[in-house]
Amino acid sequence: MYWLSKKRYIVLMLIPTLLIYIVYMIAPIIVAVGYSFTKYSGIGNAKFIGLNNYIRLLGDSTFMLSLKNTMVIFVVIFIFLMVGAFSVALLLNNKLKFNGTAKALIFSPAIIAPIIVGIIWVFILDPEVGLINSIMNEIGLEKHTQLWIGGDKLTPYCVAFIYLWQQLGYVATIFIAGLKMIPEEVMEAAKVDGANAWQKVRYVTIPMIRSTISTAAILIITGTFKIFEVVQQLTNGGPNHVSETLVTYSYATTFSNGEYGYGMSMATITFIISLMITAIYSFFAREKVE
Amino acid sequence: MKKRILAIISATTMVVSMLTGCSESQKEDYASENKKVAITLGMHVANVEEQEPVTADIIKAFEAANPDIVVEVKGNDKDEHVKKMKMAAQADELPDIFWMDASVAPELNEAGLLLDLNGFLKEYSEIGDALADNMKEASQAEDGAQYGLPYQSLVTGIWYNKALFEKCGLELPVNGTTFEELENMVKVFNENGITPIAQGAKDTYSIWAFLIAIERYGYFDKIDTILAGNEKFNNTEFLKFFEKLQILGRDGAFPSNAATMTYFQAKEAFLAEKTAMFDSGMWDAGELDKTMGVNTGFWWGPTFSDSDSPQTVKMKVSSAPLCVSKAVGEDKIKQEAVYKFLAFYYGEEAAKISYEGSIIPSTNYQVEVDLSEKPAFAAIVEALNAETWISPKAQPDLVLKEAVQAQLYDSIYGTMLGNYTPEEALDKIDIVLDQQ
Repeated sequence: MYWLSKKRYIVLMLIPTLLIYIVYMIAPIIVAVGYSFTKYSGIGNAKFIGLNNYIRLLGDSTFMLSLKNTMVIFVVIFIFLMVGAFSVALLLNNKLKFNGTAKALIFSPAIIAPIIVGIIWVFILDPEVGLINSIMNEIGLEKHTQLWIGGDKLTPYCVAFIYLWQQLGYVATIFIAGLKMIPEEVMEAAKVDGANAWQKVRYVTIPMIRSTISTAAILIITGTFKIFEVVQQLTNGGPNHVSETLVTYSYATTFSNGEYGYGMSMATITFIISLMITAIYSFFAREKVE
Repeated sequence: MKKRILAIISATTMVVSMLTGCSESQKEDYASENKKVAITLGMHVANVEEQEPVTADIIKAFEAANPDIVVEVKGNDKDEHVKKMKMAAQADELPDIFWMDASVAPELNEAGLLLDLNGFLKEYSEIGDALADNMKEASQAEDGAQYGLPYQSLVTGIWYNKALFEKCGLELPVNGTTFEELENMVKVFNENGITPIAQGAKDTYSIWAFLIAIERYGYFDKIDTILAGNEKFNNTEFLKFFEKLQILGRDGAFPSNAATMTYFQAKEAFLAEKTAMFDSGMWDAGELDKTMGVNTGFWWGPTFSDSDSPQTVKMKVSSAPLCVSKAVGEDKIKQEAVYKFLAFYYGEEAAKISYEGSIIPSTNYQVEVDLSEKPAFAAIVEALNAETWISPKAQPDLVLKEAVQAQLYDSIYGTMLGNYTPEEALDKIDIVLDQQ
């Protein structure tokens, strides 16, 4: 009789997955980091230029602006999506009327392709022909119409809001899955001990779904640094790069400007920032064993 | 051990004989009467039938005339296409013939990935004669290699709506209409609630009329010196041009949502008669014929009294080239098929198909076409007939590297939209030039 739980069999069975992971995940990262030290147009041979691309990044005002925009989007999304999705999950975890319908409605934006989400929101936010400003004009609030997209102030917030709208149901579903894992007896015991609703959430629910919260947080962090299609559809990073995020600027530099090496240095920095934020979060959110 | 060696030898022999067999049978297949030679054509539009109907018609006519050759067309939107061609170049999988951005084609040539078409022009000398020198020179390397041939003529300018001009009591723009007169048009149209010029900044490349305008400030007199690092883009003449952009933007010449508009949305606004003018080119003539008809006019854009350079500039130049993969040269049968296609594409029959589809080919055959049903196309032909007006050797952006090109677009739109001062816009181009 063969015991598949033996170490060598486990290693053997992991090899195919590991190979795919290395080829499709690790190798591209290594290649991208490699190209970030070169001057390369995508054709012919790359020329090694050391740290020049990274030095150039420091003086690139558009890169700094795209970094700022990305951080604004990240902070807004992280706070509102975590709190919003958790609140929605708490609500939907109760036995309410039309619970199923509400779950389906809240989750539905998550199944729309991001490129379509972008198109939908262009029709809502466009300063000239968009729904919001049109309604404001109709009801006599024309003085208060805003440059929701296409300006340098509100675009990152609008991108964050759209991502929030799209991901709320998805993240809430993760939280609901976590909430379902909490044994009912624990909540009953808290009730018997006289805990009010807030105290139950603060001292029972949150500690018991800590790993679910971590999963959701890491998904939000990594997701935020990958927002691309929505920005591309809303403004294409413009006008004049004022609404670029790290990913869209990296894409434009790499593919529209034909500066693969420089674009890869931006991608590398984006990867490092996202990794650092994830590491910092994981450090503070780690379970403390007494 | 002996058995193992024998097994390896026999396996190797089998593989080698199979490979040899393949190439032999391939040759036989080509020679066979029933076997068609397939050539691949990579295009810069996703749907060639809909977006480049003239090219689709030429391909159909070619296949009808050459039943032994089939043209397999693969298309993607421009940016995606260029990206895919670059990746295909790295993997040595370029299509046999492909459209390529004029700023990227020289790099492909330098990397040794393109077939020198001087051989083709020698074999089909009548094609060489039908192409004007500036058309051929646009895709010639310094060593004389002909790394591409123009896909079409590139004719750009400003379309205008005659009815809206008449409604506002304005005279129609003509060759020689000045910038000051354009300023007045902008003022009058705004007073009448009509957006003067349709521009979509989301597609940053859609600045064709302003690329003609920069030549009126001596672009080609300066650009070689600038690219050599001996002069700055931020010079007095170009500064005057950028100041004009600033004035137009400030006066409300462009849609208030130009920043979030695409070129296609700008076109829709013009077709819906919401704007009086539209920065575009020959490729929209067919659609304008169908929608606006006799109301369509065409103009080369304003002239400038503060410039020392000639103002009689029109724009009929080589568009981006069709290139041929170097690999084609290694397969005589395929090369013959590709040459036949190019000979047809640049031949008289294809020129007639082009004119009938309201596209001006890169060749100069004299073709009889009834223009009575094509008022927009007729307007462009009339504008081209202004003999004292001269075309530059290329469209200004097409002689720049991709990054500089992108910054030129960004700077022009940035100034129009009021995001950059003229000086800032020009400095940004100089910064990118220094980084190249």
